[in-house]
Formats: sequence, structure tokens, C-alpha cells
Amino acid sequence: MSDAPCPRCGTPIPADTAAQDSDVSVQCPRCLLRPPWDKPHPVAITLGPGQSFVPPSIEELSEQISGYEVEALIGQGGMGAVYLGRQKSLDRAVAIKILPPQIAERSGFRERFAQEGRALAKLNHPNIVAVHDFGQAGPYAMLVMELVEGANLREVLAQGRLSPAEALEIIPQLCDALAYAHDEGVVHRDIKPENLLFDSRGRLKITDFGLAKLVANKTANDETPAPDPTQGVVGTVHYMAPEQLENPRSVDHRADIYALGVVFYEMLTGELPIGRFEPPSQFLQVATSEQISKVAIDVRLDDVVLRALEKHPEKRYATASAVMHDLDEIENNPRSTGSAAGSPDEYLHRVRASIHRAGNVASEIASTSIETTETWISQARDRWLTNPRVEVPAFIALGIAIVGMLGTFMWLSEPRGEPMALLWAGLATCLAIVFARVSLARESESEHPQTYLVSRFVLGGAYLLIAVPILVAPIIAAVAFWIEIYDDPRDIGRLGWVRDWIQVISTTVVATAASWLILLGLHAVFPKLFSVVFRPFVTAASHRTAILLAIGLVCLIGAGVFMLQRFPYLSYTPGIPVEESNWDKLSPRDFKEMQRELNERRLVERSKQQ
Amino acid sequence: MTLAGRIPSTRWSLVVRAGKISGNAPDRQLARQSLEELCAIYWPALYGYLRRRGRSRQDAEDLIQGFFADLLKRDSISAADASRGRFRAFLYSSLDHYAANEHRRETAVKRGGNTSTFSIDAESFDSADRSFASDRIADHGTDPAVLFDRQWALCLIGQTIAELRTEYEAKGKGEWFAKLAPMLTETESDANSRTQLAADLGMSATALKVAIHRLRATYRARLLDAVAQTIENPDDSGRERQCLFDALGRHS
Repeated sequence: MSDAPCPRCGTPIPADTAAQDSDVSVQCPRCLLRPPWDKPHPVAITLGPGQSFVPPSIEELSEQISGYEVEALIGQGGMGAVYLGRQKSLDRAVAIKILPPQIAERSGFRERFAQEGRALAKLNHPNIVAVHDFGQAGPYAMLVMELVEGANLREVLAQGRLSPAEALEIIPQLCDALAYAHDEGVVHRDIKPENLLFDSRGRLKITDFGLAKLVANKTANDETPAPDPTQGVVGTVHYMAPEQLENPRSVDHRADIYALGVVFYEMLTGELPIGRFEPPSQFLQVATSEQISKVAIDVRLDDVVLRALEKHPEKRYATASAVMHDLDEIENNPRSTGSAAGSPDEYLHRVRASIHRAGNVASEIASTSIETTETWISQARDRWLTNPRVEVPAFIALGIAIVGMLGTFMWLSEPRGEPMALLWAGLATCLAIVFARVSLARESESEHPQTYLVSRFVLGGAYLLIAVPILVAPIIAAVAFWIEIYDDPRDIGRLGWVRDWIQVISTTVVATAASWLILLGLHAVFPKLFSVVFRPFVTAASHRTAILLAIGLVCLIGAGVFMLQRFPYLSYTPGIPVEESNWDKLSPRDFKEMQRELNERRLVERSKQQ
Repeated sequence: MTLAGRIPSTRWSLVVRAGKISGNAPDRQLARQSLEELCAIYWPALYGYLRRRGRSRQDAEDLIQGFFADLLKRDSISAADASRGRFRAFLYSSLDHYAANEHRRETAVKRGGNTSTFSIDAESFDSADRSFASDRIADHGTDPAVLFDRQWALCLIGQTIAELRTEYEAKGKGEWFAKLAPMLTETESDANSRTQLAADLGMSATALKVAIHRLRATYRARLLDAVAQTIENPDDSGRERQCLFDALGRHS
């Protein structure tokens, strides 16, 4: 047969597809018989005591329930089973949820059920499945609820990841409902895609509110310690806040906010935020490189998701309405999400993403360095040193540095000890650098390079001792040189002081910038020079940085020279008098000279008169 | 149709039961009715099969009319005939048997002279014919059994979709169905086409996904039910579907 192959399964689509419908006939019959979506999807199972529960048949249940017709079993989970039913009195379709007998028969359950049931029935919100009725049906506890004919979020997600716009259609409804329920004092405790339903108009309806607490094994005042730590845990593992797993009794509404974060993350990425996960926008950047449909996510959404997913409840959003507030902000200030390629907005977005990434890197470095320190301490306790070859010279360097420092201070406090102090400091610095560099070299040679902080600490201090004088020297030299030529600049307010200070500063700027420019030139021409000397802190500068820096320095020199020319000193030749209006243009030394001469002349004139 | 709702019953299981047990009149009536319904659904598969085997339209028409008349005239399906538990297998072997003895039967029955209630009008054959690519109808290269199964699968799918369409149209959602039907086999959703579709149907993106899910879930249920109707034991429906799936995949 010469038929076109099906793009999905590769089987040729026969032209004589028996479906004589123009709209369906183009589809591959093989795919129609066993559609690609017709495969078991992972379902999040609620942990709970009802795992081994076999739901009763429709007939069995019908015998137990009066007032309702039971029509079909429509679902089953860790907390019971759901049937399609009909309320005879009102002739309306309802969902009947029954809880397993092992739950309903527990002591104290009936009272709690009655109490909680009333609280649940009071929840009246467009995004919460209404509880119509509750009671006992033989051995089962029964809840009669509003029937939602639609799909749950798991089923919707099976059709692919949601676009940010779609997620932002849903999450506010979830926030609104949670905020309402939390205000009413009800915590859901088991928010997950299976419990988030959508009606035929796409409106969110949360089901199973508060059931997890009801089903939980122990009552709050039960004193017997649980032998199994997971006992009493009711929820769904990946959607449970850390504190919910650790201490199920102390769970508050913030556990729902954590679950909301998980659901949000899953909506945007299609994955669960497990372990060290990427923020949603980064996740998609990885995904897009793998040819998955390209949707950019506003990095600001990352912040919302990550804050909802904070491990510590105190760091999380305090309320669901706070989440909603942040999302409103994002929606009201739309930024380009990268769909318009090449626009300045996209550039902005990229810059934001880079900043975000840089922040991540920095925090990662911080956390890893803390981790390394912690592990280092813990390991040192066991074996003193992890890698003696690297660490011994590092510690020797540290020791030399400390001794050198102490020695320098000691000599400085002695009378005329300065030369010794200088010698001591120089020697200690050199030795410390040598040992620290040995440690550094060995570190990079080792099979499992690991960053040791001690050698870097010593090197950083020593380099500063060397580098700072090099950088600061031109400033001091320029000022000293100027004073040598022109004498001390005049005090503020004295005649000509502005010109003096402009001269001093300009000269210093010119000299310093020029010497820095020379250093920069050296670094550019011999990139290895400084990177070898100051390893590991200095690396070869990129051309761009070097050029930018050079331009900046040249500008400084230009500005200094300009100022020097704009405010020059009047040249003064002894013996030739200067007009009084030009006195402020004389340099301090000339001014003094002139005054001295003036005084002498006056003295001479006075003596002549006498 | 249900037997007190306890024994899961499919149309074919009713037919087989009536053959095995010498039941009472209502049971027989039910069995005959079920068989008629099944034949009404699957005759296009037989027709397509015969045409692919190289029969002319006239020939195939006559053969099918005669075959069904003969089948329905029988008081019951014998247990031996239904031993395989599948209506498809039963029809295949019976049709072969009937075609082989065509001449003998022709003289005995007299074409069109029987009093069967089962008849297919020319218009139906016309529409069945239209679904063939006109150029190359005959396919002698393929194993007849595979050919038959393939026609059967196409018929099953066509029937299921037609049923689904009727259901949607009854709810006034004919347009929905026409627009959503292509989503039955779609896997990677093209965001733009979905947005367009949602706009066309005047629904939100989420509502569209819900609608697609509902359509798929209903379609799957109807398909599995349709498969189950042709076998005696509903537990075998998975195997039956796999068998048809394999037949569609085997292309020469």
C-alpha cells in the first residue's frame, strides 16, 4: 500500500479507513485503537491507612445507603473510594466518598468525623468541592459531595506541561480557595494534582479538604509514642512539606503552601522539585535545548515558586493570599517572556536571568563552602587532616603568617624597631607565600581537586600586603613630589588654595592613572605575569575589560592634564613684581618668596626714609 | 440486557449462552437480537474483506446477504462454532465455510428468496464502497486472516467514533466533536493550534484540556465496550484489542 505513514507510530495509514468521516479518517487507525495517551500514568498515592482497602461493589454499597442511588465506582485512592451517585430527594448527581472500615471503626473517629464533617460542610467557595452530606453507611464513613464532571490536574498534565499563562489561570484560584479555607481554620494537608479537579468550564475545584487530618492515625491528644515514625503521616510523599513528614501533628496551613509550590512547579515543568532542582525558568532553558516546545518563563515566577518551596515554614509565604499578591504583581507588570526574539525586552530578560544565575552560583558557592568547612571539621575530628600533602604546607604558611604578624607588631612597639619590623614582615610574607603556593600547587595536582580555604586565606592576606603598596605608591609619590616642588598647599580659605588643591589632585590623578595604565599594559602584554604572581586570585583579563579600563584611565589622565592647563601657576621671577590681582595664581613657594621679597623691599624702603 | 446485573454479559456472550444451554424463549429472543445487532455493526468488515479478496461488488453483496440470512435463520449458534469465544473468529471461519459452499447454498436458498429480517440496502453498500481507494481494491498479497482482522479493526473504530459522534450530537455538541476528534490521537500539543481551537470553541485553555480528556476517556470506554461486546469473557478484551492492534501493524 502506498499510504502515508502515521507520524506517531510509523504505520502506513490505509486509505480505506472504515471511518467514513472526513474529520477522523485522517487519523491512524492503529493509534485510534491503542491511542498514545492510553497508558498508565504515574499517580501520586496518598499515604494512609486505607492502602489495602477493597471498595465494596455497587450493590453492596447500595444496601448500606439510604437516600442515594449508587451508580458506578469512579475512583479509588489511599483514603477510600468514590462512587457516582444520585440523591433521590433532589434528583441530582453526586459523588459519594466512603472511607475504609479500618478508619471508621477507630475509637473516637465518629466524634471527630462529626466535628470535622461540620467544619468541611461549612466551606463554601466556588473553587472548593462542596460537601452536601456526611454520615455512616454500615461500616463505612460516608461523605456526599458535589459531583465534578471534568478532569483532575493529573489528567490535564498528561496532555503536556502547562504554559505559564495556563498555570497563572489556575494558581490564583488555588490561592484564593486555600486562603479562604485557612481563614476558616481548615488545612487541606493533601494538596496534589489528583485532588485538584476542573469542571467542564475549566474552573478549579479542590476536593478532599481536611480529609487527611481526619484519616490520620492518631488523635492530637493521644500520648502513646508511635513506634514507627511514619505512623500518623497522611499525605502524598512528594507534595508533603518537610515538617509534615517529620512531625505530622504540628502541621499548619503553611504545609498547604509548600504543596502549592510543588504543584506550581510541576505545572510549569512537568517534573517534581526533588533534590537539587532547577528553578522553572532554568529548567525550561535546559529543556528547550532538547527540542521541547519553547516557552520562556518569567524569572519572577521562579522566586514565587522557590519561596513557596522553602524547607523552613518560617521562610515560606505566610499566607496563600501573599502568593496571590506576588502573582498579581507579575501579571500586572508584564515583562517580555522572550517570545519576541531580539527585542530590547528580551535582552533585559536575559540580563535578569544572568543576574539570577549569578545569584544562584554565589549562593551555591557559599553553601558549598559552608558544607566544605563543615565536612572538613567533621573529618578533621576523625582523622585530623583529609589531605596532608596539601594541608600541611597550608597550615605552615598560616603559622608563619601569624608569627610574622605578631613579630612585626612586637618590633613596632620597640623604640627604633621599624627596620626590624619591616624585615620581619617581609620575610614572613615571602615564606608564607612560598608555603601557601606549594599547597596550592599540590592541590591542583591531586586526583580529586578540592578547594582548601587555608592556603587561599594566607595568600589573600600576603598579596594584599604586596599589591596595596604597589597600587597606592603612585598616589603618595605624586603628592610628595608635588610638595617638594611647590611647597605645602595652602590651607582652605587662604588666598589661592583652590588652585593648589586642583593642582595637587590633578597631578596625583595623572600620575596614579599613568602608573596603573602601565600595570594594565603589562598585564595585557604579559597576561601570565600577574596571574602567576598572584595565583589563584588574578586571571588574564579579557580584552573587553582591559580596553574599558584603559579608556577609563586615559580619560582620567586627560581630565587631569586639562585641569592642570586650565589652572596653571604664574611663573615668578624674583625681582619682577607681580600685580596684586594675580597673587592667587602663584604657587605656594613662589607666593612665599614673593611675600618675603616684598617684605624685604618694604624694610629697605623704610630704612631709606629714616 | 443485563442478566439481573450480576453476570457480566456481552452481546456475544448472550449468543453463546443461548447456544450452549437450551434456554427459554425470551433468552433465545435476546440472543437473536444480539446477533442481529452485531451483524449490523460488522457487516462492512466482511464486505471490505471480500472486496479485498477480489470479489466484485455484486458478488460480495450477494454473499453477505446470503451469509447473514443463513446465520440468522439458524435457531442457535452451536457451542462448537463459538468455541473460540470471539465473534470475530466465529464470523471469519463461518464466512469462509459459507463461501466455499456458496454454489450448493445458492441453489438451496435462492438468492433473496429467504425471509430474513436482516437486509442491507444498496445505499449502505454505496457508502461502504466509497471508503475504498478506487484504484487498488484487491489485495492478494496479504494473509487473508490479517486482511479480515484489519477490516474488522477499522469497522470497530468507525463504529465507536460514529457512536461517540451521535452521543455528542444528542447533547448539542456536534461542532465540539468535529473540532475535538482530531485530538484523539494527538500527543504533542502544538500550543498555537490549541489556543486557536480554544478560541474557536469559546473556551479557556484549561476547559479545552478538560474537554479533550473527557472525549478521550469516553472514547476509550466506548472502544473497550465495543471490543467486549464481541467476546464471551470480558476479561479477554485486552487480548482481543492487542490482536487487532497487531493486525493493523502488519503491513506488507
